[in-house]
Amino acid sequence: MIDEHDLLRRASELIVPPSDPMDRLVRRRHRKHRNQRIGAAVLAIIVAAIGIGLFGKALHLARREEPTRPSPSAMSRYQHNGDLVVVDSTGSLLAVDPTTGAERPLFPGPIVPDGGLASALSFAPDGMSVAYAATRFPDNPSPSDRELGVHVLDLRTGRGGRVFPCRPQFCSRYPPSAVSWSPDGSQLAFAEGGRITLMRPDGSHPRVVLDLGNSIEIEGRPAWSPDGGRIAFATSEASGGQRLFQLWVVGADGSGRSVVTESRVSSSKPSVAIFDPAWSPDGSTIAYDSIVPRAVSARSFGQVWVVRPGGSGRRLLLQTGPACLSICGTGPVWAPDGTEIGWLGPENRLRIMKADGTNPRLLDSRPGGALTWTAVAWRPVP
Amino acid sequence: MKKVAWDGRAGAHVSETAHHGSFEDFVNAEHVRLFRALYLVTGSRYEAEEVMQDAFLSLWERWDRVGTLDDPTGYLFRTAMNVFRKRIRRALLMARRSVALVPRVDPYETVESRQVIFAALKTLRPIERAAIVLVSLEGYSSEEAAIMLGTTAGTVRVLTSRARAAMRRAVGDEP
Repeated sequence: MIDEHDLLRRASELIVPPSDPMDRLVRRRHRKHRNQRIGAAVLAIIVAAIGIGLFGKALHLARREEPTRPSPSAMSRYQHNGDLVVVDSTGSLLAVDPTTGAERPLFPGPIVPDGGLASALSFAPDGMSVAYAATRFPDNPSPSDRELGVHVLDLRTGRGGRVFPCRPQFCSRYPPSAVSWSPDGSQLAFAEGGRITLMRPDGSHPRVVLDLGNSIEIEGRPAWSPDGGRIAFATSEASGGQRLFQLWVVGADGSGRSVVTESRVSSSKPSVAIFDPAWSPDGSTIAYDSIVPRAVSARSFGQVWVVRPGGSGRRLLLQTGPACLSICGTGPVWAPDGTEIGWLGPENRLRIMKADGTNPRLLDSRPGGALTWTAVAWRPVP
Repeated sequence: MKKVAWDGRAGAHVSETAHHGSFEDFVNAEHVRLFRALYLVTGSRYEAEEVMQDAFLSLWERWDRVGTLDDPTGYLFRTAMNVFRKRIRRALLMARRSVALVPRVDPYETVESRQVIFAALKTLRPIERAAIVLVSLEGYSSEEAAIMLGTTAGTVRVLTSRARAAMRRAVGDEP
């Protein structure tokens, strides 16, 4: 019978242990501590590198978005009924205090590249996106056809771009020059030549709801009724040596078109043109812009008129001169609460008046002239 | 200082006094015995020294507390066995990952094979070697060895029994 203890003891006695165990331990301890320090340093470097990388990335993103992202203060509003917003000569969006005329940058431009201009401006119901028509000066090749059309800009993200191009047959003569956002925010209406087209705000599902032919031109923007069921628009056409301007109302599906009012302008009959209708928020009135050209009057004037959708109650709210006969001015724009009307009128100056035409005031202090402003709109309270 | 009697199996590790001396004294007193036990368990001089140094370093870092224990040697052996088990697990894991790449090396191949005890130990699994060394050589009870090996006393008894049988077969003393 073996004794395993004895066997193990005899075997263990053959084993020679290492000498100087304490010296070896001390060296090993030094190595361990050194390795721990190195490991900690490497870890700290890695963490610092990751931190610097993340910080740099965040900084890069912030800088990249900085030029186009509006500041929080710019996104706030001036008054309970929203901001009056204009596009200036650099293509930037400015908010204008409707009381004091103080300006504040809302979005840096240009919102139309290559020297083009935004000829219309219309905000989504939430006030956070804006649609506009990109056009160019007559006989100016810039911007190219690739930039002309309907654009939409998201003020929260700063992202935007063309959602609908000018169609080849209209591009040279009648690029989209006006656009309006529907009251429910689901559609954009724009005019080109004698046609009105509706589409979704992303440019999808375009459909022509009205086509008046090539001899009739829609003057300015289509205007949605507050309930979104109808659209008002102005037209002009040559008619027997005169030019016939008409204000129309049509169903949003293109049905039931009827004339609201009309005017003939000729060398012998002083009258007014009709442009840029705007439906009042309560739906009771349509305001529109007009001019009395120098050809029919010793002085030219710019005017704001109102009329009921049925054609009654037409009256002049404000007249001042001289009229802006070049590329300037856009028609009246109603404050969201319907109490005031803004207007880029004569000399391309920004004016504001009460809804009944009283208390007209100049809001800007600029010298005026073409391209001081190119478009105006009220931004609804976000 | 604890003095180890190298003449009895059950009482060989029993402290005569608690070890209240310096850590260096403790190392000088215990390293021969620990190294030999680890050599028998691991079958490798290199492995035995690695495990021993890791165990001693572990005690060194908490010597203020360990040095006042009644049986710091038992603590040392428990620590050494923990280190040994961790290295076994790590080695098994690495072996699984590189099983086809690394030729299997039997640590006992490098040992004097004429010694019958090494031949016998060669046939055992590491856990069986640890059990038989702790119980039969170092004189720890099954319960104490179980704590050191992270298992139960019953398992230690089974492991020890298997190890004894294997050793008897190896030395031709099978009944």
